[in-house]
Formats: sequence, C-alpha cells, structure tokens
Amino acid sequence: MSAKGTDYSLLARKVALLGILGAQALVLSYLENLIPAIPGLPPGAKPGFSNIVTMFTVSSMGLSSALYITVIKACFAGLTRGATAFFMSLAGGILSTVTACFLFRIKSRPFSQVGVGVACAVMHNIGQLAVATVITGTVYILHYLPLLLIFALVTGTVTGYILKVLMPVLEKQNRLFIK
Amino acid sequence: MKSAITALFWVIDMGVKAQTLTKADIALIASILVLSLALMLPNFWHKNESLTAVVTVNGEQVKSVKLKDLTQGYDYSVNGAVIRFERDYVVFTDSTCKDKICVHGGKLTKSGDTSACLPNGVTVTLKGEKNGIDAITY
Repeated sequence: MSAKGTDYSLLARKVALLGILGAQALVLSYLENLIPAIPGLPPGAKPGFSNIVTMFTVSSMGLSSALYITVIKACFAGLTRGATAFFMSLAGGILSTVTACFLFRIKSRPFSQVGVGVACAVMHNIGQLAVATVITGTVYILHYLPLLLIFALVTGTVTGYILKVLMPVLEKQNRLFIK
Repeated sequence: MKSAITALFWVIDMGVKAQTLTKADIALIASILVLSLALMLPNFWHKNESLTAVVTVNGEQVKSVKLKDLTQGYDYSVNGAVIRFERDYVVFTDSTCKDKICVHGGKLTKSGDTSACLPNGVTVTLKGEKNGIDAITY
C-alpha cells in the first residue's frame, strides 16, 4: 500500500510540475506574440522563448513530458489564433522537441545549450514552413526559407544562451517538486 | 538582413567569451548560415524585368496580372482577402482572418517576393520573366 502511495504521489508531483512549466511556456509565447511584426521578416517569425521551457523539459524530464508541453502550446495557439496557428505550432513544436531530445541523448554531448537552441529554432521554423506549404498548396512560400533560417540562427543562439543562464533556476524549480 | 548577421556574430562572440559554445555548435551554425546563403543566390540572378503577380487560392492559380500593363492600381478581392495591384508593388490591404499577418507582410516589390493569408488559403507571388526562382525543386 505504501509503495502504491509513493507512485501516485510522484505522478501527482510530476503533473503539477508539468503544469507549472506549461504555464511558463504559454506566458512566454503570449508575450512574444505582442511584439509587432518586423518589416522585412515574415510576420509570425518570433523569438522562440517558449522553446526554452521545451528544451529544459526534454533534458530534465524526458521526451514524453516535453511533448505534453508542446501539445499544450499548440492548443493555446489554436484557441487564441485559430486553426492554422494550431497546426503550425504543433508541427514546429514536435519537430523541434524531437530534435532537442535527439541532440541531448548523444552520449558525448557535443552540443551545448546554444547549439540545441539553434537546432530547435531551425527545426521549428522548418516545421512551420512545411505546414504553410501544405496549407497554401504552393511552393512559393519556401521563398521565406533562407531569411527564416538566418533569423532562426539568431533567435536559437539567444534562446540557447538564456537556457544556459537559467539552468540552475529551472533545476531548483524542478527540485521543489521532484526530489 | 545585415543586422541579422551582425546580431549573429555578436551573439556568437558573447557565447565564445562565456565559454559556452562548443566546436559542434559553431559547425552547426556555420553550416546553416552557408545553407541559407546558398538558398538566397537565385534571388540575385535577375534584373528588373516585367513582373507578373500570380494569385493562388488553396493551390490553384486564380489570377495573373502583368504589373507593367497597369495604368492605375486596383483592388482585387478573393476568398476573404483584398489584394491591391499597383505598377510597382502588390500588397494585401485587408483580410477576414483574425491575425492579419498578410496585411502586415508588407509590399511585394521584386521577383520572388511572396505574401500569404494562410487561414484563407490565398497566396500572392511576383514572378519575373526568367521563372528561375520557383525552381525550388532540387
């Protein structure tokens, strides 16, 4: 009986922690949507601050937990911005989360958080562009790709660096829930 | 564009000083940079020839306008989006979508420029004579 009690308690604490992390991801994504579109860049190109949360969840709690956060983000985007936003966020999010998991699992750890941040941002953009291509049914949308890649490089580096700086804080938050 | 590359170098410099960046990181960043610059090369191979604006709805072409033939600009409404054709540019002026991302996308002025209203499935792109740019069929 006590063993079962411990398992449920851990699960409940995990769920609570995922709730907190998910809320942080949602706040970040909402705040960065308030930034007005920069002329010259495709509107919708945002600094992916919510990826900080996703990357951290992948590294500390595993792929399935991070996927929950990705789905929550996508649902939020769908509720506030419409169905297209849902699919684009879902595609980009899944692609970038899986890439982050892949990069973190390499034994020799060749990439630092910055590299993972860049890969995350790039894959996120590629996923979104792929969905946009399917939705519009044309190839022309791929003209955004080069500029978007360079922008993803910049935002990915910034995101990765922020993650590195925030690592101790986030891990402390984790320890509050999961001993 | 140039500001993006400057920002990139500044960030990388900061990362190197903080001893965060590994060699693999720099390799990744460099390769993506090279890849995107290579993808941009086709854009520089054309001169200012006559531009044709092509509008597609859900993948099917519905309208094609030769911009040089226009004596005055006019508005064209399709599937919820309003597109304005002028001699020098094409732009979304209004749309029924919630985001209005297409309207904020700015003016299309050169061959290859594209703007799209995804919720309504409308895209507008400028094509030049050479038609070399839509050969993204590597």
